[in-house]
Amino acid sequence: MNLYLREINKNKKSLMIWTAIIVTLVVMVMAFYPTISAETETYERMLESMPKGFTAAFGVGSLSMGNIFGYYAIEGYLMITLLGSIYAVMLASGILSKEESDKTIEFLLSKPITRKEIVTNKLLSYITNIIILNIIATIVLFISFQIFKEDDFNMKTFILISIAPLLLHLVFAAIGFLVSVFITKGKKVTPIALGIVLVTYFMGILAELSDKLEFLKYLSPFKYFEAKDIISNDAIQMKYIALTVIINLVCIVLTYVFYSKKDITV
Amino acid sequence: MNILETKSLSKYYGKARGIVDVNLQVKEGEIFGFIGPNGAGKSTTIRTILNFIYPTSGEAKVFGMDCIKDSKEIRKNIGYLPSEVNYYDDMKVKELLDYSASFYKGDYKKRIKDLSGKLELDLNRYIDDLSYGNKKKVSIIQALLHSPKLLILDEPTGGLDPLMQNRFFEILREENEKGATIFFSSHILGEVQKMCDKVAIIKEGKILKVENIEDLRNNRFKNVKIELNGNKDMDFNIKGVINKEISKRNVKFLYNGKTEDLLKSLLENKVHDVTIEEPSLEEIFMHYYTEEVN
Repeated sequence: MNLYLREINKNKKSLMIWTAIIVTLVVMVMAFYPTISAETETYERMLESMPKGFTAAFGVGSLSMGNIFGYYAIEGYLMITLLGSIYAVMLASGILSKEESDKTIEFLLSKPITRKEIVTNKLLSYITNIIILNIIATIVLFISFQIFKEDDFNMKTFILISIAPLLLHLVFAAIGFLVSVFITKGKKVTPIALGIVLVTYFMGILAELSDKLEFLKYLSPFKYFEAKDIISNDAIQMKYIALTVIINLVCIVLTYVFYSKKDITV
Repeated sequence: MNILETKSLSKYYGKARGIVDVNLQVKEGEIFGFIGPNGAGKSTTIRTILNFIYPTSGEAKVFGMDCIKDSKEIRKNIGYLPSEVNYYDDMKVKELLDYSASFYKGDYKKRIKDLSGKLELDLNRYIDDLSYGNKKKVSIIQALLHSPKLLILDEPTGGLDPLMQNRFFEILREENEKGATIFFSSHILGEVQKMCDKVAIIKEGKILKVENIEDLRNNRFKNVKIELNGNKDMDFNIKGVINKEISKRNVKFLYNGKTEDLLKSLLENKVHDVTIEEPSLEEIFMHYYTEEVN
């Protein structure tokens, strides 16, 4: 418990900064909605004139800018999915490995605490941080929807579109958590963690561009939670929820196994 | 009862040698010295005992419990002072010590105050801003604050000035009188001789010898260098001369006999100059090492 609290305390500053950045961007984007929805046709013509790949890359697809969900999906959703994923992966990949790269692990391991307890405390701590970020982002998003909406919006869709980023962040966090068991030296962790997010993001774009590359969508967690799918189906597909659960379980279990068995030298 | 016991403990890092077949027995209440040059395997042994790393073969027991399976239980009663001191850069001394105390049952406020008073450590500074010696003090306090039954000290005196070293040794003696067993690793023979009851010598991953400090005292090694008056032959074949080297007018050897005999022999021979000094640890090791080979 002391370790959990210590981690929460240690990471609260970066949580505050990331939340502030994401929330500010979302509010700024939403503030333009009334202007843009008034001139939907112009914008949609502009989007149509762009190459198909380009619009696909931004997840536009069949969405309409005239609808608040469509607008948010095109302009705002990426802020919380991409930036939030970067935050999540950096947090989770640093939380175990920092003890080793800062050589504080010798201190921690000499105390009466098992390695499993260390993993559990750090795991719960990163999950807490990600949940807090998502709750705040959702509240702010809800308020800006209320302020800038033109019509009433479907609450179920709103809830889905708010839960999806949380699940996405947890996927990336779990991957980062596992990776950090193996890569602990110096400053390698952050670039690798960032690389995972960006590479999978571009895989998602590639999957959209070519039918031959469609299989890539399973390698890109971003595709599991695409706004246009969620909005048009009013659901998150079961197969993607299953993948989310599996990736989380596998990564976390492997983290426990490998962290408990590895030699920890500083 | 053995507080600490290792049986054929070996550790290889891939193919690189860590320690080989280390057998140690530390009895309750002992101050046990663990001495060897850098890279001999001192820290590897300690890290295996504390289960930071897993042994390749063999086993280690602390308080009669298995060092892997019962690691957490064991560490409730261990205080560990690492050779390198690294702490969280966002913490003040007081925060770190409170954090350390939070892993143990009980209230340690007074104890922290006492120890930091004795070592003259300011609790309100950021650890990152402290000098190496002062960081070492933080490390000493976190190792001692819960009054552990076994203290494992890895090169504990580095960075401490002589005054603080003495205070630290005083504190260790107090802990020892209260019943703590101390496992003291060092590459400085002098400080081990000063503190310990027993000493194990490790070289290249293997234990060369375990000796009572009393015996080591009787085996008082001296490095003797003699410059002769002329080019005359001189015999220094008295008992206790080891590794004699003669070059022109200079005679050099390691001496491990009675001081009286050496002085007599020096008087009998006409010597121009003489130097008698503490040998380096390496020289004593070489002695043990060659003895071992023979």
